[in-house]
Amino acid sequence: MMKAVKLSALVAVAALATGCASTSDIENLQGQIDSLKPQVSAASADAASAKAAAAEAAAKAAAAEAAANRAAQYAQDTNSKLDRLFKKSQHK
Amino acid sequence: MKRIFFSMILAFVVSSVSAVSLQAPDRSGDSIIGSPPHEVKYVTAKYEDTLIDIAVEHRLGQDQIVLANPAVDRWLPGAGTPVRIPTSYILPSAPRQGIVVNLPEMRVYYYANSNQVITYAVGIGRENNWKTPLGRTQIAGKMENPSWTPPPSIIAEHLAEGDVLDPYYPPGPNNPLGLFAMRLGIQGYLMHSTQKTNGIGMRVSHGCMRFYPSDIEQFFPMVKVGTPVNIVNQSIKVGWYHDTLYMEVYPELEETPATYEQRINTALSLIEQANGGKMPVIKGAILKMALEKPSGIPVAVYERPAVSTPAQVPTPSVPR
Repeated sequence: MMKAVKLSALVAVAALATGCASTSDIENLQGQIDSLKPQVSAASADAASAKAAAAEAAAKAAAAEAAANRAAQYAQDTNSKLDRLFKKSQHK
Repeated sequence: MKRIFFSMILAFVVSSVSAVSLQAPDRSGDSIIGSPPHEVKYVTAKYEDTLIDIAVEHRLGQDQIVLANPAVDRWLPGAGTPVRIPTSYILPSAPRQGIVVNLPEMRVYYYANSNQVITYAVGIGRENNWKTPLGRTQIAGKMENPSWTPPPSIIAEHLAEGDVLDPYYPPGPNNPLGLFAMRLGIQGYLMHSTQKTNGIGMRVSHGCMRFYPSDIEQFFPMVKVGTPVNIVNQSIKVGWYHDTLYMEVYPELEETPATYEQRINTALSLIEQANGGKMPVIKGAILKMALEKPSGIPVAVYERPAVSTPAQVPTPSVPR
């Protein structure tokens, strides 16, 4: 019986202690969350900016690839013209 | 001293001849001449070279060197670029006698005797109305220092482009036929030299076959009037070198186009025929690549099992 009373008292103290601790932790946590918010929004802005930069780089790469393809095609056309001229120059 | 001098001259002549004079295949069933086909020869381009220069230097055809070097720029190979020089050829499927001309490869094979085949790159007739004729004929006449009287059709063609030809070109270095010409039995067609050496190995003539001047200078005295000439159209050639079957592919002539399927069928039929009527298990990817990207270079497509010989029992060496 005595043991049961002791246990109940311990549980009650524990419950009280837990209750007090929860309140302060939440406030603390809230504080931490609040302090992280600017960092999160900065990180989010950084990510958006990186995404935009990546998109710009991709667009530049695509433009460069298109320019390279045009140059290659132009070189090929020029070679074909040279080949035709060369062949014609060898006619009797 | 005189003897040494003449020996030196002879050695020079033999070495220059060896560039095109090749031993006939050493085995009866073989049909590849030149270097063993697995041996590959490259030269290194210099800054000022074009593939055109390299072809002339090695007396190759212009289309031939381009086919053999698909990744090399004809006009600017670039200093240090390795350029492949074809050195082996599968003999065309035709009787090995006299002169055989294979139009798709723009090459002449001359069977000088049973041990020697001499091969030359030639320019042939253009695609449109100036095709080199196919068929069997013979050398009907030989002319040293020929004159040239342009036929009315050629005069008219030049005139249409604002170019007035002389009615007669006397013998000499300015004659378009060069210093040597051989008349074929087919009226109006010649084998001759040229001033336009860069056109060898291309379809540039009015139907005649043009040789490098140094080649025809060598060829002319060897050929007799009456020598048979067989002009064939074989864009795919197949032949053995020892136990390996090779295939050499050229683009089809424009006037005899063939679909990819037709070319595959031709290749398979030639392979089957070369393998004694039995279709071997061939390297399909290599066959496909050879047909899709003709290189004019023999490509190995099949290796037959080497003929097994009975094991030799070593004989003990006996002191004599």
